[in-house]
Amino acid sequence: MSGLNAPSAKECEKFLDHVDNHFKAADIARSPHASIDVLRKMAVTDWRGYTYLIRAAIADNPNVPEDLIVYLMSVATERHEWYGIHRYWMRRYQAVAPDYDSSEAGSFPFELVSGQPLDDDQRAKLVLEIMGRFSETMWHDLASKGLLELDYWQDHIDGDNFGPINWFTGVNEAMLYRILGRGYFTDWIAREGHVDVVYGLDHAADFAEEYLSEGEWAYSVDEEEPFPAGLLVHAAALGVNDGHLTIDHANEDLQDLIDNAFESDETMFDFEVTVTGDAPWEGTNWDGLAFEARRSFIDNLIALKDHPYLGGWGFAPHMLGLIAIHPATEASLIDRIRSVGLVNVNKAIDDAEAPAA
Amino acid sequence: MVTDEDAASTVSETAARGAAYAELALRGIATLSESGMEVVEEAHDELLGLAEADHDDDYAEDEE
Repeated sequence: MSGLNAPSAKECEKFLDHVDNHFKAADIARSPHASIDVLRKMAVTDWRGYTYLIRAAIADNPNVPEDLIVYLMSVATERHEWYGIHRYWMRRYQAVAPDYDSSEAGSFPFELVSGQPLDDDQRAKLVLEIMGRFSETMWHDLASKGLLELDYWQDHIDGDNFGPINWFTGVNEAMLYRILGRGYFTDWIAREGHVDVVYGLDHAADFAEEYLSEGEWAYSVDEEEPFPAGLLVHAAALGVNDGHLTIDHANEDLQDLIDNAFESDETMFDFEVTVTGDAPWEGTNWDGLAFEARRSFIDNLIALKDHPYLGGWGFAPHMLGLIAIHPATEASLIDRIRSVGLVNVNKAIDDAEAPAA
Repeated sequence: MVTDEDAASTVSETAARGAAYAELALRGIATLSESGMEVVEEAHDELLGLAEADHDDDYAEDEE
């Protein structure tokens, strides 16, 4: 929002009296004329279902202080807030958002791998700019080697999610999928979906009455037509509930039946993800990095472990975990990472080192 | 959603349920209890009645 169109300082000061809709409140939250006190009050106000939007708008305010961002991070629960907070840190360090469409993008920044001294702001800026591409390149590499399991699920409202199952962080993983993953736009994977059998039957039981009221039971009595999968699954669910039958969950046809019954609702599907394409960006290929460069990169990530965003929200620990389980990483560098004492990263190292059962 | 055109060839909920139960049992997906068997038998009677009615209609048309 430009300063000219933004609500005035007076409007902002009286926001609690004036504001009768969340659009106006969001304008005030973004206004460069809003005082810090107004922003603090707005951050703790209950906006009746729109609190997340107002908090995301506060994060976009050009004058929002860092301690208020840290507070917003502690209460953030959904993607508008996460994206707003991410934009704050990008703005704070004047970091440039990566162009994922460019094949040129994604080389390791020289400053991060050359061992040269960096101040905290320089380091944070460079890691912010590289973390998405580096993480995704490592996901591709480790998954190709069978060392990392990938996950994908559909969400028609918030957008699809893609990323590894293990983030090595213990923090808000739903946020990590949003900030580090590209969801639907990930072009190097194939996915095969199935509906969990128990979940599918439970879902059918929950919606059987609705199914009934829509006349779906009234199928055509034509012996040449195959039975509608939806009818069979809903009948099975109701039959179990009414004590008319028991289901053999191990039956091989049951999975196909349930997949067919819910084929129009992919949000119900769990996807098995396989790597089919080339690495997204060769420039962040860990195999191609010399030992000294790796050590420099690792040291810069370790230096960010206490950063409120890059450390506290798990980005640096995630990258350290990926590096630690990568087979090309030298033992001395793994020891270096282990000495930091990140519990989930160390567990990943232990798991990777454990002999296969 | 059932249209008027479809309505003539549709069955009651019990018949549909029973037919579905029988199909599930045939495929080895479900094992029927005694009460489940009763639903299937009820469905069978209704479906048989419909089939016979269809046959009678066809016969009457041929006679004309």
